[in-house]
Amino acid sequence: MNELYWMVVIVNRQSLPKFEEFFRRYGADVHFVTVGRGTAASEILDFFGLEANEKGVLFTVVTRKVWRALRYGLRNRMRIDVPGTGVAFIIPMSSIAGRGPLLFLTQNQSYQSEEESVLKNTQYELLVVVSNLGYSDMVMDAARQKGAGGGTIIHAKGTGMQKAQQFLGVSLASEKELILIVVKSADKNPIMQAIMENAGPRTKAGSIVFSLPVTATAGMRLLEAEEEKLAGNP
Amino acid sequence: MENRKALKEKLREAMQAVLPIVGIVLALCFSIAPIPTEILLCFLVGAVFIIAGMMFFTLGAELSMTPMGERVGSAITGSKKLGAAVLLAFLLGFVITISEPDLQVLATLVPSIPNLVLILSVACGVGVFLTLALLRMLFGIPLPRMLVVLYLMVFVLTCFVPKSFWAVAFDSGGVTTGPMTVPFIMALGVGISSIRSDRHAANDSFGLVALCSVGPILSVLILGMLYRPAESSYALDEMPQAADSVELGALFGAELPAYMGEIALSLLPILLFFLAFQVFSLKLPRRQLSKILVGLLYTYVGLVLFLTGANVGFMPAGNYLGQVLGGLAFPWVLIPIAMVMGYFIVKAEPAVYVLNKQVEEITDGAISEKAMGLSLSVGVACSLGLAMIRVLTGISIMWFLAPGYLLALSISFFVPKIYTAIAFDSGGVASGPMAAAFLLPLAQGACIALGGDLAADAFGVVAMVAMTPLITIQVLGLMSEVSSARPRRALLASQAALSQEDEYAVIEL
Repeated sequence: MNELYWMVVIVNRQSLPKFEEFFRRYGADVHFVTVGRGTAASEILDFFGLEANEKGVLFTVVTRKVWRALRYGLRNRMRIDVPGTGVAFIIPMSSIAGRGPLLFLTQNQSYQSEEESVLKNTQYELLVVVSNLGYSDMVMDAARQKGAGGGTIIHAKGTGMQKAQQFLGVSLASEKELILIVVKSADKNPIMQAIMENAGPRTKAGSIVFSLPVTATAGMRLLEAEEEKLAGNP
Repeated sequence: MENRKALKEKLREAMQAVLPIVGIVLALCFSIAPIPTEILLCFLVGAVFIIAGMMFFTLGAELSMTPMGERVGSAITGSKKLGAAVLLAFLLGFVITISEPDLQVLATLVPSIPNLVLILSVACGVGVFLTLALLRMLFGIPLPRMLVVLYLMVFVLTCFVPKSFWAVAFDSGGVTTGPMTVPFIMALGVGISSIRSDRHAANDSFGLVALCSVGPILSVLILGMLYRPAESSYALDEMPQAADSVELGALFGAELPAYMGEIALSLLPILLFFLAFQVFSLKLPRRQLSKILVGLLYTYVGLVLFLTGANVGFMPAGNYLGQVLGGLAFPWVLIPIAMVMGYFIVKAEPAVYVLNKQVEEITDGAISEKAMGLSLSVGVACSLGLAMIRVLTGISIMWFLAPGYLLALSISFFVPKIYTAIAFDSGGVASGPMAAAFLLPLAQGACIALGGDLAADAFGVVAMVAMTPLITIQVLGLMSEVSSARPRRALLASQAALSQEDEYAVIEL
């Protein structure tokens, strides 16, 4: 029982450092942080610009054990249940490219691999590529070679990158880009490997890539139709 | 009151920015520098105005100036028509400069050049340089190279104009970078560079203000060459006289409408420009538009309060304090006092707040608001120390400006590009209304007390304040470069040691 999860935490931007410190205490050291804007809870205050609606969005990797401890801490110590404080949720991870990146992301969480995942064998998966700022083109070129469609880029700041040297043999910059690509599960492994080979830690892009399960999609029909046509005319 | 958080937060920030300088002035007034009570009272009322003004301004700038600039910027480049983009950039630069209140003041300072000629040529200068800056961003021309060429031109031109004119010319660089235009121009840069996805896009979103502040210096120098003004005249403001509280109120009451008109005038072109964009190309939804307009209202109220407070409250206090300190038996005490004041006063500069915030945003926190604030403070402290040395000794401003710019330009080749761009931007940003309303009068006062030449010695404070951050912020960059260079070397060694076999096999979890 030691699955890996991609944890997403959304809190007020000012309290973000407090939360980061809190997560570190539980062994979740590598964070990717980006900023967002909360939608208005009060229309009038929003209209006058009086609402503090800047949100910090934090992504990190946790094992189930760490998540359990964290959830307890979030409720009892960080009082996350008080309305307006924030929200945290997890998504099971389905695969990751390379042992180095795996160890890097779970450095202080004593992860042991066990074959068990709630969402196995979905038809699609969401690839999350974490690369150095400005190298998204390199990542996408690698991914497209193996049949990926388009990607979406989120700017983020990485913290806890210091240990990268130890696990990946390279140091990583803290300015990051998260690139999200939805792919068919069948194509996933070649795409992940292509990204790691052509834009991985050895290159300037310094990418790490892992995947999250996707249970259903909309907007991927053209890709499917095209593939069917190709299959029909060998 | 959970929801009032934003306002409270801004109030706290404004207090943090303004209270230290109030504390210093009070400490001086109660100990070594006796100043009339009415001036002190004026100063305190001014401080209240400034705090309220800062609060509204920072709230409004985030709500209106930043989104407006970004939208307009990306609309300009999004059209993909180079001709139109160039024309629009020129027009924008021209229009926002012409309405800048500081420019009118500058024009009256130089009587030998007709006001209209000066205003038009400075506005043209900014227009041309804003266009240049736009082209630079689109084509990715490195900033240091451009700056070297431009500053070389500036220094060559200075050889041809009278010495007494130098200080005015360099001070004019701060003219275009008023508190209204800085947030707008900076956001414009973010918008313009947003259409590029390469890794220099973030670096190139800065540097607009930097180039825009060279424009007026060049224009004024060229005019100085053509008209050869004998003297630049600086009139001293009269000391406020307030016998009772009603008169004190009247002092502020009389100035308030004047600033209301002035700020409205300088806000108008930006608003019109934006509305034109809104009608023809942006077409923002109503809710967003109304939010921007509310933000503009905040900005307006904030600036009116801020400028009234600064000019009515701070200016006489600065001037008087300078005179008293300069008249002391040990005038050298001016140097450390001015340095401490400079250290704290830059935080009360409204545009500085916007710059620091934007820097943190664009670099995703890699260059923190704190680090920026610290290097700006150190920079301005140094510049005030130097300026006071000039007031005390009367050495020419060129002894400081030429080596200073030389140093700034030469280190620009060694620091990461983003630091250079931010540094040259912050030069224009640091020399805002606070510098003009408090530091300049301080130097003037000291100069009067010491019997120096007002035009040559006291002025140039603003130019100095605009120069030193170029160096300190680049030093910040240099430091980060040094600290990041070490692991990079280690990386090459360890890279060879690792084997590539199966390293990236996908692990199912």
